[in-house]
Amino acid sequence: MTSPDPSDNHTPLADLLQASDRGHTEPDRDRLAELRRQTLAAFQASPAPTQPRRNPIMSFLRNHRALASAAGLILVASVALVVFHTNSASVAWADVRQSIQGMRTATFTLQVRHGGHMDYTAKVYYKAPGLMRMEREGVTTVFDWTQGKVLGMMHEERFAFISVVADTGNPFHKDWLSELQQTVADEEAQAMGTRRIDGRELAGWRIQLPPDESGGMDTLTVWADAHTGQMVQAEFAGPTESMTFSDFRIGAEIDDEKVSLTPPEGYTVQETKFSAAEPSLNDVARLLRFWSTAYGGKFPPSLASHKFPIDARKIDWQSQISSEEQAQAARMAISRSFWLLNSRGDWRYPGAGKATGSADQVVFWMPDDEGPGRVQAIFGDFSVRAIPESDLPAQQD
Amino acid sequence: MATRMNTGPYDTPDALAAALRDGDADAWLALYDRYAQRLWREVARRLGPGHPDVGDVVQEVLLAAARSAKGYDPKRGSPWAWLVGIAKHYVAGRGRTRQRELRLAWEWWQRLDGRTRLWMSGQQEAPPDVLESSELAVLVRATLDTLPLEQQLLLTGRYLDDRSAKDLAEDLGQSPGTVRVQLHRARNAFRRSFDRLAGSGQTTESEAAR
Repeated sequence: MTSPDPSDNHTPLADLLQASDRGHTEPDRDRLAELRRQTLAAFQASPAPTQPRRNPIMSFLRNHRALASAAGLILVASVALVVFHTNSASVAWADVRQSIQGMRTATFTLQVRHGGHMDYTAKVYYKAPGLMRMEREGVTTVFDWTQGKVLGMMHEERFAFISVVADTGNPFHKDWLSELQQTVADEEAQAMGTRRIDGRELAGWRIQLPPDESGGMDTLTVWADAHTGQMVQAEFAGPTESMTFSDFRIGAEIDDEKVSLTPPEGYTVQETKFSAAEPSLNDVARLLRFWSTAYGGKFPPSLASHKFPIDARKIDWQSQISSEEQAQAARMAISRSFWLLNSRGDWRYPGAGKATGSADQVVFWMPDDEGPGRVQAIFGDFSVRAIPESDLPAQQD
Repeated sequence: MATRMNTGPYDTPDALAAALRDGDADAWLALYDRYAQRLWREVARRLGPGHPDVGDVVQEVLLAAARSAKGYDPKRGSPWAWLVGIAKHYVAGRGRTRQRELRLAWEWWQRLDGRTRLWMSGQQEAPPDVLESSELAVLVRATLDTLPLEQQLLLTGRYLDDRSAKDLAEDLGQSPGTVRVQLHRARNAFRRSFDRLAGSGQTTESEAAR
C-alpha cells in the first residue's frame, strides 16, 4: 500500500494508477531462470563496442529547435521522385558504413516534415569537427558546436547576430553528424533492397534507433549508391516527424569561409547571450504583441517559427522599442518564446486571425504545470492569467 | 557525484558500464538479477496484466539488452531507465493500445455520468466497481503512455512499486531532491493527460499507440 502523499489531495492518483495494475503481473520465475542463461550467452557472444553510443536524433532535434528559435526558418518545398524496387543490394553494408565513418566534409539537402507536411528545407555544409552551415531563403546560419556559438545572417537586411546559447544543457556541444557516424558504427542494419532515385540505383539499409525517453525518431534508413557504396540519402522517421538528407556528397570541398563565424563586411552585427532558461507566457505575450503589428492589429495566422523572419520585416518595432536595452530585452523574450513553442507540444492558439484588444478572449493557452485542472492563458489584450481549464470555451481546444 | 546502486561491486552506473564494456559476465548477471523481475512486471503493466505476449516481450527485451549491454552508456540514463527504454520500444510494437479499445473505455467513462466527480475531486472514496473495471485500466495505461518515459517510471515506481524518493533516485541516477520535483511534475502531467483523455476522448492514433 502506498503511503499517503501530502501533495496528492486533489485527485486519487494512487487509486487511478493502481487500477492499471490489477491482474496477473507476477514474473514466471522458471522462464526468467532459463532466460538468465540465454542472455548471458548472448552477452558473451556480443561484439565489443567501438565507442559509447549517443542518440543523434534527439541531439539533432534539440539543435533544430534552438536553430528555429535563434534564426527562424524559411519554407521551400521540394519533393524527390522515388520508385521503389526490391532487388538485392550489390554493395555491402560494411562499405557504406566505412564511407560514412570516414566523412570529414559533406554537403546535403535537408528536408524536415512534421505531421506529413513539409516544415522546411535547407542546403547544409558540414565540416568536422562540429562546423555546419545551413542556407535557407534569405537566412543563413552557421554553427560552431564546439564553441556553442551560432551566427545568423539575414541577407536582405544585411543584419547578423551572434548567439551563445546557455542554460540548455549545452545542446550545441553535440556534433550530430559525428553522432550519426557512431550510430552507424554501433547499430545493426537491415538490408532494404534497392530503389531508384533520379535515375540512380540505390541500395538501402535500415537501423532501428535505440529508444530514447524523449521519443522522436524510430528508424534511420541509409541509401547508398548501389555500385560505389557512397551514401547519397539518409532518412530519419518517427511517428510525427521525419527528416531526409538528400543529395549527400561526402568529401565535398568546403572553404573555411563557408563555415566562418565572422559575418560579411557591411553587416550590422548584434551579439546575444541567449538564455533558454525559464521561458514564460509573458514572453509569448510579448512576441504576440510585436507579431500582431505585422497583421494590422490581428493575431498572426500561425506561430510557426519559420514564418517569423518573413513577418519581422512588417513588424512595427519602433512603436514598442526606443532603446538598445529594450531591443535586447525584446530579442531575449522572442528567443525564449520560440524555445517554449518549439519545446512544448501542449499549447493551443485559438487566437489565430482574431483582432487584438479583448480582455476576455483567450488567444493562447497551455496547461499550468503548477496547478492541476488549470491553464495559463494569454488574452486578447496580451494580459496573462491562470484560469480553470473549465473556463476555456469549448471551441478553443 | 555518481549515484550508488545496489548491484554488488558494480555500485555506480559508471562502474557497471565499464564492467559490461569489458565483457564481465558477472556484471551482466548482477544487472539481470537486479532488474529482470521488475522488468517483467513493468512489461505486464504496459501490455496489460494477463496479456499473452508478456513473456515473449520480456525475452526479446532482455536478449536485446544483453546483446547491446557492452555499449551501455550511463550518460544516456540509469540502467533501469535504459532497460525500460528498450522495453517501451518492444511493447509499442506488440501491445499498442488500440484506438477502438480506448474509445470504448472513454465511452464507459462518460456513461458513469458524474459518479466519479466526488472521487476525482478527492472528496469521496472511489466507487469499487469503477476501480475494478478493465476500462479504467485502459484509460490509465493510455494516459501513462502519453508521458515521457522518466515520468512513467517515477509514477509506476512510486505508486505501484511503493518505492521511496531515495529508491527512485537510484533507479534514475538522480538526486532525491530532483526526484521529488520531477515527481510533482509527473503527477501534474498525469492529471492533465488523464483529464484530457477521459474528459474529451480526444486522443490521436500516435498518442494511443506510443
